[in-house]
Amino acid sequence: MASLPTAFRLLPFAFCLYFAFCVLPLFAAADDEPGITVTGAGEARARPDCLEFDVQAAGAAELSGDAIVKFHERLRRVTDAFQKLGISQLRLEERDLSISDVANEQNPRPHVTIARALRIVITDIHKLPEDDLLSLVGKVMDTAKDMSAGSEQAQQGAVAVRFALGDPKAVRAEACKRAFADAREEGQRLAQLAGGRLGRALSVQDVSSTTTNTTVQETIYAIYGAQLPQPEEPGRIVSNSLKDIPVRVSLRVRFELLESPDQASKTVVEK
Amino acid sequence: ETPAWQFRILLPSDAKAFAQIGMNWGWNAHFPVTEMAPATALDGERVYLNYLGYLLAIDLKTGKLQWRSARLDLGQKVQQNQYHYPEQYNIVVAGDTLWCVTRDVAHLGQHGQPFRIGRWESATGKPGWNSQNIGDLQQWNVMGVPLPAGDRVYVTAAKNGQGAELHALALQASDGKLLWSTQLGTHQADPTQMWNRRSPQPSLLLSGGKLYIDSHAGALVVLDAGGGAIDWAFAYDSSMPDNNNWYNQPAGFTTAGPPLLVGNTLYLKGMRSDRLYALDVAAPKLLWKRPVSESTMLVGIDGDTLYFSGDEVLALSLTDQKLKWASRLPSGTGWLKPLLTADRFYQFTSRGIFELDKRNGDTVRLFRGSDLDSLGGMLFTAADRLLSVSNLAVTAYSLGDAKTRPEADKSAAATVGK
Repeated sequence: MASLPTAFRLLPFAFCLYFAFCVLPLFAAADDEPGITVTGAGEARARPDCLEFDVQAAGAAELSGDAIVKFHERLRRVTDAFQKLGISQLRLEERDLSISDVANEQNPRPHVTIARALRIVITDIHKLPEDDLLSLVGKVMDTAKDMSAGSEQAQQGAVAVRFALGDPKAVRAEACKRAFADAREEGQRLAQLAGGRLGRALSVQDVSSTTTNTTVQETIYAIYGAQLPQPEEPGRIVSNSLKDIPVRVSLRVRFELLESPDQASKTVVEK
Repeated sequence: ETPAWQFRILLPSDAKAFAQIGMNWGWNAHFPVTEMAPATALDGERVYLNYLGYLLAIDLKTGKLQWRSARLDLGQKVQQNQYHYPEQYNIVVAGDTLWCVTRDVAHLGQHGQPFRIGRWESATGKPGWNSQNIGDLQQWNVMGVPLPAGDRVYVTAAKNGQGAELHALALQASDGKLLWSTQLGTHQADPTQMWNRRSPQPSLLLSGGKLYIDSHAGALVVLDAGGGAIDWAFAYDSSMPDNNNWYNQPAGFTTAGPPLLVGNTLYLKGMRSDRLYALDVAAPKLLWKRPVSESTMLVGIDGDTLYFSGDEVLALSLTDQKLKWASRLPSGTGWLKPLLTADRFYQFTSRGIFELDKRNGDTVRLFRGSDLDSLGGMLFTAADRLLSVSNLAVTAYSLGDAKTRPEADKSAAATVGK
C-alpha cells in the first residue's frame, strides 16, 4: 500500500515551503527610494476566439527501429485523420518532440518512446453559432479518440480541450492601461494625504506574477511522486470554458512626490 | 449499420454491477472480470457462450436463445467473491459436441473451487459426462482451451491444492477416462492465487502427432500426442506477474494468443513475454527471436507477414523481422480476437469495428456498429454474418451477398493453436 501517512506527514513541510517562497516576498522590505510607490490593478475581458486540442503522436518499443516506425506511422495517421475532416479553420501545429528510454510496469525492459506533441487549433469560433461549434468539436474529439491520440492520457481516451485568445496583446494592453490609471489614482490620493501633489512616473514594473510558484509546485509534486504539468507558454490566455476571460495586470509605479502650490509659496516666503 | 440481431448477455443492472466490481473492495482494485468477453464458439447453426459457467446457445440466423444451462444470476455473485478467473472458462464445439472448461455457477468467485471439463450436446445443451463425477478426474483443476481430436480430448490441469504444477491430460472423449497425464513443469507464481491479474491459460496445438503446449508462463512443451511422453521443451523469457495489489495500481493491459504453426515453423509469443520466437519444430531449434511489446498477441500470418494485435496492430515482415507498419487503435479490453481476411484486418474496439488495409494499416472504414457501450472484444464470421462478441452483447451484422463479402484469408496454411 502507498504510504499515505507519510504523505500527510510531509504536508506541513510543504506548507512551510509555500510560505517561504510565496508569502514572505510580499513582506519584503519596501524600497527606500524617494517618491510614491503604488500598485495598480487593471482588468479587461475578452471572449475566446480559438479552440485548442492537445494530442500526441508517439511510438514506443524496445528496439529504436520499431519506435521510429511506430512514431512515423502514428504521426502520418494522426495528421491525415484531422486533415481529412476538411475543416477550413483547423490548423495542426507540430510542437515539442521528446525522446525517452524508460522501463515501467507494462514494459519491464526500457522502451524508447518518441513523441510529438500536436496542437489542433480551430480559429474564429466566435463567428460560429453554438450548434455549429458543438458539431465541429464533436468531429474533432471523435477523430482524436478514434486515433487514441489523447495527450499523455491515451489509454483513458481523454482529450485535453481549452479555449484561447488568438491574439492576447490587445486585451492585455487595455488591462495595462487600466492598471496604470488605477495606480495614478492611488498615487494622487497618497500625494494629497502627504500634502503634496503627484508628479510624473519614474518607474513602472509589471508585477502581475511575482512568482511562478514553480519551486513550490515542484516540491509538492515530488512529494506525491507526480509529474509536474508543463507550464503554459508566457503571454497566452486560455480558459476551460467559453466565457469572457479576464486578463488582470498589476503594475507597481513610482511617482514623483512634488510640493503642493501652497507648500511651494510658503517655502519662498520663509526664504 | 443496423444489426441483423443483437443478443444482450447481461441485464442493465448486471452490467452496472460488473462495472462497479472492485469499488466495494477499496483501493481501486481491478478485476479481470470487468473487461472479459465470454468464451465463444460457433458452428454453422449456433453461437455458444460460456459466460462464467452459464452456457448459452443462440441461433445464428435469428439471434434467439435456443437453450441455456441456467438463468443468469450474476450481479451479486460477482460482487461477493474475488477469484473469478474469467480467463479459465472456455468452450469449443466439435461436431455435435460442446466441450467446456467451466465451474459450477454456485462456486463463482470462490477461492479453491476447481474448474471441470465436461461435454454437452450442442443442439440441446444436454450434459454428458463431467470430470466432477469421474473418480480419476476429481482431483484436477482443469485449465486451458480443450482440444478435441478424434476419440480424445486434450486439456491441461493442475491438481487441487498444487496449483503451480502444470500437467497435460488426454481423456477419452466418450466417457472421460484418463488416458494419460504428464507433468509439464512448475509455475514460479501460482496462477490459482491470482485474482487481480489474468492468469496464464495454456494454449494447445496438435499437428503431426505432436501436442504443442504453450504455458503462457515461460515454456513451450512438445509431447507425443499418443502416449504423453515429452519430446522436447523450450523455455522463453516471461515476466513474473505481481500478485500484490497496490493502492491505485494501474490496471495492466494483457492479451493472449495461441502459437501459429506454418510448415515446420512455430511462431510463439507468451502472454507475459516481450519476445516473439520462431522455432523450427523439426530440428528442433530456435530460428530467431525479436523484441515485441508484452501486451501484444499473435493474430495470424499472411504470406510473409505476421500480424499482431493489442493496443496496436502491427505487421512484421517474416523475411527480415522488420516492422512494416503499426496502427494504434482504441483499447478497452484485452479479450480480443481480430479477424484477418484476404486483404483486410478487422478489430472490434470500444469505438466500433476498425477495418484496416493489410498492406499499410490505414483505416479503410470505422464501422460504429450497435455495441458502443461495450469495451470491444471478439469477431467471428459464419456464413453471411459478421459477429461481434463483447462483455455485454453478441451482435450479428449481415455481410451482404457473396460478391460483397470479404474473402477469407487463403494465403497462409497456418495451424492455429487453441
